[in-house]
Amino acid sequence: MKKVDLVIIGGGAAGLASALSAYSNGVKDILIIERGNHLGGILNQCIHNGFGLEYFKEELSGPEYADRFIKKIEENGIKYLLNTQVLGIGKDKSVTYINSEDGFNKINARAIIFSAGCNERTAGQISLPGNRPKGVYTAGLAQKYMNIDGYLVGKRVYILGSGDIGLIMARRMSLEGAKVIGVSELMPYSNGLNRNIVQCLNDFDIPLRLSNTVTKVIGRNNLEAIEISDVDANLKPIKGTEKIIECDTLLLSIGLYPFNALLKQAGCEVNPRTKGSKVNQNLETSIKGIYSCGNVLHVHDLVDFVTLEGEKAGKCAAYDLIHHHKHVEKRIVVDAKENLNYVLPNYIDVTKDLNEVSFSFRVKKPISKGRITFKDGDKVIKTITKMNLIPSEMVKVSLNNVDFNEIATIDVSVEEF
Amino acid sequence: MKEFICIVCPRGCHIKVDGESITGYTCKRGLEYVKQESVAPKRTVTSTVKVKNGDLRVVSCRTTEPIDKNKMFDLMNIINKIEVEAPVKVGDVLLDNIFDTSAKLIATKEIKRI
Repeated sequence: MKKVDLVIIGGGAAGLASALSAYSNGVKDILIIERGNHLGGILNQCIHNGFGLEYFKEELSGPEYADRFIKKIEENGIKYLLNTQVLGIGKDKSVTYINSEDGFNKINARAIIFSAGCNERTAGQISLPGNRPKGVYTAGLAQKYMNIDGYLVGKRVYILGSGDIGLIMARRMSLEGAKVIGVSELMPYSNGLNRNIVQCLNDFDIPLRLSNTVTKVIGRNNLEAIEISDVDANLKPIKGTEKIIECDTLLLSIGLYPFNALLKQAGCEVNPRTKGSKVNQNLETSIKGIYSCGNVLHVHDLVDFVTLEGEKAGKCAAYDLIHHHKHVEKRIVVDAKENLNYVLPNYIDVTKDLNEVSFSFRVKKPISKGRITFKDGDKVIKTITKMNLIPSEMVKVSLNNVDFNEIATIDVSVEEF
Repeated sequence: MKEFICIVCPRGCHIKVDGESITGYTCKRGLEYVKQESVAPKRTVTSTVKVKNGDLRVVSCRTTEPIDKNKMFDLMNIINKIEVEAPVKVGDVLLDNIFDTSAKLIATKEIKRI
């Protein structure tokens, strides 16, 4: 069977960054496997501006951001397969894949980085009431039709969910001549970035209805109208607040979840909070030599952070391939407590030279003055103060100057003060 | 007093403008943004233009500088009439001197000729 040092599954932002990082850290035998017909993943359809401010210190569109990495992949001669679907990953780090040129194939990897991105939540997943006519799309699918294939999917548009992709599409479709009637958000706060509320909704006089949702989809073959209702504090629709809105398109921007099925099948432990894999501080899953990064690990809000995580996965995989795994003295379990949706890493494998661990998490609700606490049982390890924490923005903090050998478990929580 | 939400970066600072006094910004770009926004708002426009003989039917594009917010739809009318021949390189100029300013419309994706 063909052998490859490092197989990277997914050629989007995370996969490209991890490939380049592994390459510059000494691993030259790399194969990237990409399902789509171009490298770059979802960046190719995110034609709007605002990428790269953290990483490149300049403002780029998604395709330009991807292009910088793709050019380096080409320059370094890193191998990749396009139009190729991975069918399975084995515990032994075998990878089976299929494409129309090579047919069915199996290769053995010494290490795998899994960077397959995320999926959009669909109408079925939120049990959207009513019919299933043509005209109901996830926002990202409508974005692909618009920006890659050149089709405007409708002329009178309503959007459910205030996630960023929906907001970006509200602007995009308005500019292309569609009438975007409004956006409903179930929660009492927006799930999108403030800047997108301003430049995608306010600029086009598109109303945002908070604590409101779609309670019926109406239409036999084509979407004809929707019914929206206000919701109470328990998120239940309030009788008597129903409104009928005529429209031919309903976009769903109701969240993303890691596309982690292949690692789950391989037997990697799943983090029930993120639906991604459980990882240690080196982004290594419960199977030695399989790493996970980017949106398949946990959904990010900035691609710049996806890139940084990909680079870390590449660097850690390269270290373990070249120098073998460091001796692990003990494992610390990390848990998300009060007001936290999740925290990463899930565990810390303590090695002799470990002196810093960085954590990523999301809060459950907006917290204007937050006190982040790291605790070992009742003992406080560290507290950090952060302002304006919101669920739609990932928080990154690190623990350093701590003797990890002295710590049994770490609980992370946030309180309002 | 007027409050603005800065759109320069994803942080989205709340900036207050009260006559000459500007508070709440956390970077130089934010200060510049709000000075401009309170007088004549400008926006970067991103869109796509048609491609002939390319591996994709449309190529993504953006303005190199923000243009007047109230001229966005005028620019869209022009953008929707442009058609380019593949190949297209990132940075290729698709439209120069937009509304007699130094702003250009550039391609943001590579399109191969087929």
